[in-house]
Amino acid sequence: MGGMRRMAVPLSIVATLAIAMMLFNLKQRVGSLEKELTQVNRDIGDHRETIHVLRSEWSFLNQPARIAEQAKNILGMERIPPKRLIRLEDLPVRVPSDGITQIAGSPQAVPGARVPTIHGGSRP
Amino acid sequence: MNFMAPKNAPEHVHRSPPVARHPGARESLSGNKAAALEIGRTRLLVAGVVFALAFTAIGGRLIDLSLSNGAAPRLAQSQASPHPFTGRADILDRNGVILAANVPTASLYAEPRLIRDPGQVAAALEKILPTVTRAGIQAKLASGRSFVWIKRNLTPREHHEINRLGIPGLNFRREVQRVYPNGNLAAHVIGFTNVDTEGLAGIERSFNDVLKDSAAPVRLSLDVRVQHILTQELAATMKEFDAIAATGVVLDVRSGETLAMSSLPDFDPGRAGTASSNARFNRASLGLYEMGSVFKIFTTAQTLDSGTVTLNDGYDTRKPIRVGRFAITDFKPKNRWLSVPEIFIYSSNIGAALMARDAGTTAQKAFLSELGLTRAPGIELSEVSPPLLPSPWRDINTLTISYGHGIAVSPIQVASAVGAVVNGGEMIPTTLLKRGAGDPVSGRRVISESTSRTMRDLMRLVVRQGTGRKAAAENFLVGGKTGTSDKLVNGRYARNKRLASFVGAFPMNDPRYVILIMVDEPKGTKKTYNYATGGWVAAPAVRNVVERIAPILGVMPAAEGFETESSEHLLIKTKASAQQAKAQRIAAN
Repeated sequence: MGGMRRMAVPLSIVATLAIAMMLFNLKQRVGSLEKELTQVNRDIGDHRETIHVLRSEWSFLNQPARIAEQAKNILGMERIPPKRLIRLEDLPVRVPSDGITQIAGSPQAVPGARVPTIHGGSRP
Repeated sequence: MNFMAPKNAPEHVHRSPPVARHPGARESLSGNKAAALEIGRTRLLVAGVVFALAFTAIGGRLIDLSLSNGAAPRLAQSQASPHPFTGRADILDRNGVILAANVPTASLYAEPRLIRDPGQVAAALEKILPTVTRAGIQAKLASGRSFVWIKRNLTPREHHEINRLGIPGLNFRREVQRVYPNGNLAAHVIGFTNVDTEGLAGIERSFNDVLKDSAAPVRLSLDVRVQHILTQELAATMKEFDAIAATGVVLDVRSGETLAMSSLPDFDPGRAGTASSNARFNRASLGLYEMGSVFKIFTTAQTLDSGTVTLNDGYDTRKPIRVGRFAITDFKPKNRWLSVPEIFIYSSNIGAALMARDAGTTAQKAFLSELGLTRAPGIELSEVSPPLLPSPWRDINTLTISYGHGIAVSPIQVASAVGAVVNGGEMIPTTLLKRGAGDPVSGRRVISESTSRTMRDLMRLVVRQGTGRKAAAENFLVGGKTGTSDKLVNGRYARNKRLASFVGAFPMNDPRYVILIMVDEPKGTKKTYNYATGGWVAAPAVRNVVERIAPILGVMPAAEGFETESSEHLLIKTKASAQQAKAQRIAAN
């Protein structure tokens, strides 16, 4: 009991110093983090602005007229006549690779496979 | 207890430890000292508790701050607006394609007082900047003012080159420039701004405050792909028929959204200052036109819906109607008795006028008003015109309005009204803004569901067998109505100057989109046997547009043979019953 009392003062001094140091440290870290945050926010702003400019340029480069022209000139693409349009679900099911032997004959041989139709056969 | 301690109290307190070491000694102290000691202890206790509480609170807060992560994200989130603030928000199409945006640029200014040799500087600048002249710059630099603009909104290359010159007195100011990445596309809808980015036309004008105040973009209902296709087909038609102008719109009949609105000639909003007022004129909403036979859609819908006529009725169209010095005639007279469906399909002016006469002026006026054709279109543009209506609205006006003469309206209104006729009979406000998926669409019923169905069949018949055959897009079930009207020149209808139009919808079994195309002053070609009517000029353009936009809009071609006798029965039945009715009349006479 008596020893504790003698130790109390130095202990509290040490504790106070330790806390003070920790606090100081913490404050420093907060300060530098805040600086970093400001910088990061500024960078985010800059990047957003850059993205914004690049998106405008993207829109510019993706003008439908330009895309159509390049698709035609570079890729040799042409307009799809409506006759060639068919729904995805109207495509015949893909035959699994091990099903090749089964299919050999007619498509009806594979359960679930459908005869391909050109004009969207399942339309009501 | 006396808290006002005597002066010597600290002494007693100081001495108290030795006393405390001997239990039972307290009794030996005098009452006065004991009381002082008691006061001291109490104070110590109070102070201790206060300090302990304070430290506990501070400690708790420290632990809270350092251990819980609540504070950090809050700080980081404070700046989390996804849109950079550029002074003016973007305008996007329905898929997020940028139609208008503010981008930062550098503008070059000079401080003439700091420039020693204006001639040399002017010469250097002339080489870099193509749009300025040496003399012009030199005059500016020699003015002795403290600040002159040399050129605003430099390209990055110009900026770099001038920077490399390193001439003192030449400086840059960061500015923002309004750019329109899609050029002329949808220029009339987007509009433009002045150099200080204040909206002067289009959405830029009508949404000026919104664009300035918020960083969130304004999302339009337009689809640049549809807009491009419509504009391209309009331009091709204009060229083929040597027309002076053309306009077109594509509307979603269920939501009232405008997918495309085009007016030719057009302009680049980035250089609106150099565009002629003719090019800047939005024919789709600001232009007023006598739409011609397209109005027979409204006449037929109105008279059928009110019960004035039925599909089995008909009229004698052999004789022109004479009212005063006017004579109402048919463009291609059939010279016989026509049933109501035939009047519509073969576009008989006489028949339509007789139907409207039977319905009456008041009914016609009320119906056109319900379709929004008697006031300015309600779209989000300031470039709208109220229609030109007859005043007073006499019976002769009723006759001519039945086939679209004597009333001038804007194409966008006609498209909206046709949308209401085919979509099941509900007038849905037309908008240029994108509707959210869950936004309720409030329509007002103008005709019954069944009249709408009949009108769809009739419009489909026009394309299958009538004047609009050239609009028959492969398997997309287009239905519509042609219109050809002579233009008023100096108060007289000019025979050789006309408007050719077609308004249609597809797919006609369950209409999703209305499309209107109007060509101003087309000239007939050899290919069209010199015809320049709606059926020869506008209908093929509609077919081309539909065939190109339908796949984009997710409308699939109908299966071969999908369309059976679904609408033909109208004609067949009515022909039979018309003959019956005719026989009865003859018998009655």
